[in-house]
Amino acid sequence: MWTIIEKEFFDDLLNQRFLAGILVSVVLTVGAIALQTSEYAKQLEEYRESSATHENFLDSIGPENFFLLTPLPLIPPEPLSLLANGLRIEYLSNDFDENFLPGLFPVMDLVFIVSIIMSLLALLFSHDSICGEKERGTLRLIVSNSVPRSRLILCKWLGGTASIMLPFLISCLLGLIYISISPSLQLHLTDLAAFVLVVIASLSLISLFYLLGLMVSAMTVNSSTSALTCIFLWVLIVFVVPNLGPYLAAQVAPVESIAMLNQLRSQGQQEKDRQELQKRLDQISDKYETEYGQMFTEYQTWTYEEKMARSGMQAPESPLRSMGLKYRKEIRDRRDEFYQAQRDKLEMLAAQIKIESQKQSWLARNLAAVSPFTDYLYLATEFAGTGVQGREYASRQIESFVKVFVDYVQTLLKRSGLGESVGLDQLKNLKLDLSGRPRFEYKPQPLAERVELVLPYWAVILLFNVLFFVGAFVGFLRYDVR
Amino acid sequence: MLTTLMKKEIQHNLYGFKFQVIMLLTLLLVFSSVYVMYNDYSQRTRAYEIQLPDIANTSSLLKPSPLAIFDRGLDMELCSLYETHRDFGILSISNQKDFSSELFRLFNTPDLFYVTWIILSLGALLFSFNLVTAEKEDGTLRQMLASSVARSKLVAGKWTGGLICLVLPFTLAFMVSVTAVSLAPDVQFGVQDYLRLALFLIASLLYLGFFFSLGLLVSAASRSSAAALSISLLLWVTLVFVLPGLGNIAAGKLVAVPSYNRYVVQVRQAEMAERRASSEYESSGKKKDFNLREHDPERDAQVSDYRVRLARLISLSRDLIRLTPAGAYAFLAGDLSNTGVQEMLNLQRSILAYRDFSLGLPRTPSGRVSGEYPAFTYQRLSPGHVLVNGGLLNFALLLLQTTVVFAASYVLFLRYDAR
Repeated sequence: MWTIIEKEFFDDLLNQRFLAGILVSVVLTVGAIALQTSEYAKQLEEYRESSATHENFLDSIGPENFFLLTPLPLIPPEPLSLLANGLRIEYLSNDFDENFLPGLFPVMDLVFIVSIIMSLLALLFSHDSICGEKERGTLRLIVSNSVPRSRLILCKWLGGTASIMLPFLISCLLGLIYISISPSLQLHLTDLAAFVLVVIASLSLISLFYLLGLMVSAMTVNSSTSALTCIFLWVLIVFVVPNLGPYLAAQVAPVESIAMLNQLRSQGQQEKDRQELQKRLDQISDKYETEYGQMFTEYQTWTYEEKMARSGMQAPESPLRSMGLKYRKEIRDRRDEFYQAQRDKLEMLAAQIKIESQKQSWLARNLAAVSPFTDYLYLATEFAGTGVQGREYASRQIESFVKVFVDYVQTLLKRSGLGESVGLDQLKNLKLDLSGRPRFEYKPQPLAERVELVLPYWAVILLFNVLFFVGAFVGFLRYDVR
Repeated sequence: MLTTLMKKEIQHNLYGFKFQVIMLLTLLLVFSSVYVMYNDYSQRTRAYEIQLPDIANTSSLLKPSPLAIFDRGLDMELCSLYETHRDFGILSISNQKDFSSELFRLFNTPDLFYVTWIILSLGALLFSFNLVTAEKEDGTLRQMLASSVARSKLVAGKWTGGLICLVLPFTLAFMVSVTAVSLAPDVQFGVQDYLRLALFLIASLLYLGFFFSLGLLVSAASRSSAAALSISLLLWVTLVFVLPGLGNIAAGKLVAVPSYNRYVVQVRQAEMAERRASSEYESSGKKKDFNLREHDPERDAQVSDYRVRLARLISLSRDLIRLTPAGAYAFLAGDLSNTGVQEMLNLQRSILAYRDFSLGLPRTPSGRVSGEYPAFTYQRLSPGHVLVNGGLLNFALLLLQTTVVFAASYVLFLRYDAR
């Protein structure tokens, strides 16, 4: 058995294809890792700069502009995004000033290299491993020996995948060496573990495509038919199913309420709301006008400061003061009530959207997962922390930080008395101590959790491996070697 | 003689397994992609119609382009809501994203452009990579050359015959889907749209022609079909994926643009300060004259510097990328469908011009515009404009690349060793 594996391995190794394959794989993998490392360094620099800018800005805030006290939870770039760019999460996003060109073209990362180049190479290596031998006449000779066919096909798989995995592993190792000597990137132990996991996932995908080629090869008579069939299946797996799947899901389970939410948030709607609120406030004014007559009309003509000063100067039980207080309270209550209703409406819609889009997302994710390429994409991006679920994890952290920050600001306002209406001159005497403000510290999702999330997808890849192997096995057992 | 050769080539192809596979793939992909993208377009149009009545007339919300069914390109970005905040001095521009689409960003849009760009280009290459080598391997090449057929005629016949077989199913599928879409209830095509679609078809055929010729070149340059297959796939990966990506990276190295994140942080800080200051004044009832123009010249300079550099980066990337056939075709298809880079840049320019225009309007002391506020309007680019501003250049580049590759394969075949 060892001899056959050895024969398969060296057969490939001495082939011109192997030379080309190893060259392409090493150059592209190392090149892509080098490029992505410099990209990562740039992103990290930007992240540090932006966070520092914001923190400095917060430090400069005084009582007169306390309302600028806002959180800015920026997520640092994931170190392993250089293997799988995946998704990036931006707390701030202003598409208007973003460079949109790179998004139009494919990204060169390890995921791309494995799913497009290594998978094609694997197919190229295996598509003629049985029918090619038949064409050359060597298959008859082998079968005429006392080696059972089952062992032969197993050895073909082992030897063949070894000869394609070897250059890949070498290039990954070179990439890792490059990463570890580049000063901008420091890999921790978890990152290293994740790196290894990405490589193992890549190997399982490469083996899958090798087996696909082997299976097709065991079912076809000549190598050109086999090559075409392989590429056809490859196109289906890599391009058609993954890209059509999510769109079909989106059409089966549409999220209609997003447009409605945008409608509620739009400026036009805000203008309408403002008018509606004004109408209600006017009703209160009318009520007061009929009740208090001249006094109220006069009161209304004063400016804000005058109102504060004049009604404040009156004796506690004077009718002007009590009317002013009552009126202002009623206005405030009505306004609060109105905005609360608005917020409730938005929240309800947002909750509805969340449910709808979760349903859609689930369907889209799993419909696309029929293709092993998609499963691999999920594996690699989740291991790298740039997958859909990893990003959701990060978003939750952002959300809870924003809540903590808002609470902090609220208590700060209450404690310092800034929240009440105070005159501008009073503000200047206040002191604001912001040293205890919450600072955002991003904690990446634990690796074990990430692995757990994607295990089902890994299982699909392995299942396909088994299926294709069985296919190749059965096909070869029944193969007409003449 | 040429006709006989062509006929032979066509008949040979029609009965072949390769033709069946590629035709099946073409029909399957074109129809399913148009079906899916039509639904996507209807959904987006519905969403647009829900939002439209409540959009402030100063905001930009474009109706999805029906041509996005064939090439969605940047249509999602074009059709998102850009609000120019009118009350405040800076008139900042914000836009709202559809946040449920996170997952979709992992995948590509399966529109007809993508199908042609990535998949059918591979199909074209596979169609022709063994046109010469297979005949050599079958031994028919020798026989043909032994008769009095000129090599030049032979290669011309192979090229035309093969290309017809490749292009015919695609053209038919394209026309059928255009007809189906134009009959669909949600879509109304104008004359200009048909013109755009015709140009789109021509661009796609040119692009497929390039890859077909490239396959012929590879075939004429290699001795065995197996070698030709490996080389073809390598070339395809390089031309479609690697080179366009490198164009972006190279441009990024050549033009330095300030950090986007820091830029956004700074702009946001300044905007918030101004907006809150202005609303504080309004709510306190205190009247203050806002000098809108000269609010913060430093930040204005920063913003315009950033935008100038970004524009330079984008135009350099575009010039580098369009040197590759995949790049030229991508830009051409996008621009012709009103969803491309030109359209995006034009919309951005219009929004900025509108902002500058509204800054000059007479205002009340509180900063609000006195009198009627003119609405923002936008017209998508006409095909003529697209062609003059880079479209023709992209066409010329595609044509040139195809011609060069065909000429090379012609020369190589003349010198081909048929033994």
